[in-house]
Amino acid sequence: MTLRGRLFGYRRRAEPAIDIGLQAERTAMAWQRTALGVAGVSGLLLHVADRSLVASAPGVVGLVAAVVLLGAGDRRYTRTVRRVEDGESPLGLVSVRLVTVGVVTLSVSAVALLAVKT
Amino acid sequence: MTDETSTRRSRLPLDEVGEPPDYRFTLANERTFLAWIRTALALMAAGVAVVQLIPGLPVMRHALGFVLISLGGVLAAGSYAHWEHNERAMRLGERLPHSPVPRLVAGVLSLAALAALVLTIVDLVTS
Repeated sequence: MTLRGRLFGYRRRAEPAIDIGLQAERTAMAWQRTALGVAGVSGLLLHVADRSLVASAPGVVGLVAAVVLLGAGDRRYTRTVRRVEDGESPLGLVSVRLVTVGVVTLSVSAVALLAVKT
Repeated sequence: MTDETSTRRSRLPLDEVGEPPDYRFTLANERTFLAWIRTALALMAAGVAVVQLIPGLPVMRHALGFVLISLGGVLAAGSYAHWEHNERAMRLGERLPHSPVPRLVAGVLSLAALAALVLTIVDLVTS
């Protein structure tokens, strides 16, 4: 036991403190990094579009999706902490499916855009 | 477990299968999925960069670029499948499935890097 423990009568915890906040924070940061990745690819597509209105659509939609993802990452954090504290699973089924569909769509859009610009 | 039970379990929605695992495993699985998604995005960015920046024959550049971008899309879809398989396995207390994705991505990326290098050298030699 430390000196502080002897002075203030602290006892070692029987169970480790639950790190809900840290796990949720790491996951939220992963969502935010993903949002930055989406923004980067969308920016590249905008560059390839070269000011063409129709060709700019995938890039613009991608940038909007990136901003939404950033906000979703923050919301994911609070929802995860609340769910775990309530004894529920923090499974993010809808979020995972949406980002999968979004990235696959971005890939298809990128191929189409580059094919048209060739 | 009989084949019929296994088939029935695989058709159930993911949030109704088995018992939810420790929340840390669910979140770790999600972070792994997002890491693969970011790898897919990096592949797409590399594909665009190859088309725009790598010197050499336009046909070869575009072919290489399309391969990388398409691999990004395939990787994103495969990442979701792997995430779901992992979550099902954890909920059913089964061993996590083996993933061939890391080896596949490493192989394709190595070939793409080699192709980009060859294109650059050929352009340097012929110009």
